[in-house]
Amino acid sequence: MKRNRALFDAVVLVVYLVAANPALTGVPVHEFIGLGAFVVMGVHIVASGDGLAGRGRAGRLALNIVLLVALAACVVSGVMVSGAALPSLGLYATGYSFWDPLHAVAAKVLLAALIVHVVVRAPAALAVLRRKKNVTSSETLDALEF
Amino acid sequence: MPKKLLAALVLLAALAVTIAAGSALAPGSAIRPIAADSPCPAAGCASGACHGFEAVPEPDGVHEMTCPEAGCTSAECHGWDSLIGRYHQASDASLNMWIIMPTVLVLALWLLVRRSGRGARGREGRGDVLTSSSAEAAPAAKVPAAHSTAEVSIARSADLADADFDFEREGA
Repeated sequence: MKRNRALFDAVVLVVYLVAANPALTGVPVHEFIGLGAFVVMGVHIVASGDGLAGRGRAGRLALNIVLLVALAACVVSGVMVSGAALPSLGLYATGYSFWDPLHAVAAKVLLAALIVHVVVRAPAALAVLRRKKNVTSSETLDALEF
Repeated sequence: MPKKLLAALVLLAALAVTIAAGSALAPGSAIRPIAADSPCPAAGCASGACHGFEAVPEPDGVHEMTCPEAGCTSAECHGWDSLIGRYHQASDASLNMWIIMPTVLVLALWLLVRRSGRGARGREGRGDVLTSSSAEAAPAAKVPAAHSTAEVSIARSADLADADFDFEREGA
């Protein structure tokens, strides 16, 4: 993992946390930020494609599957209950009584799985940030000495 | 690169499967263009004069609501409750807050303890504080290089003396 990737992942987390609190932003803002969060999370998933699965990573694979299913369910159901994003395009969706509970459940599952994901991955990201910082400091010292 | 492409395809496949499963479980659900006779997605009101999402009306005994589950239509339908108290409102925010806030609190406390511990170790390394923990956590490498060997020996002796003292005090 590189420093830029770690910083981008931190931005993804912040965008998600804002999107996950519609009480703070209001529902219309929540809908558009949620779409933006899906885009950056999609970039994160594609960029992390090399580490999604592999030998000896059954637990991580299971967690990623839960994250993927919850994210897909949350995004699709969110679009289907949209009261601002869809109407801004002149559209509306039927089936509210089905999609609304699904959106609530999927959001909770996504939040819980993301907390686990962050707890598992945060040490590696912090180590990358810290290592890079130390390397930069020592390089600076070397440059000063010579 | 192939794995990144595979990840993108998996993400798109997950979205497609979710849409297909939702359409199968709720056959009536679809995305349609808004027209004058479009019913309210939440309560089925089709009065022809939509109030919009930002100006939900009070029950007036005139506008009828269609129950999305039973299909009945009434001016006294509980759809009004759904429209007023549930639709387009962040009703589940409290649960999110109950999950996020403890998590943020725990992480903040962890960072605080970690940072304060590091600060204490840094002071010990500079020789500002000599406690029993410095004998374990502040080896000779943390003593500034400018100190002479004799000074290091004195500092270690002081650390060990403090450690012995703490041990005796705890034992007593």
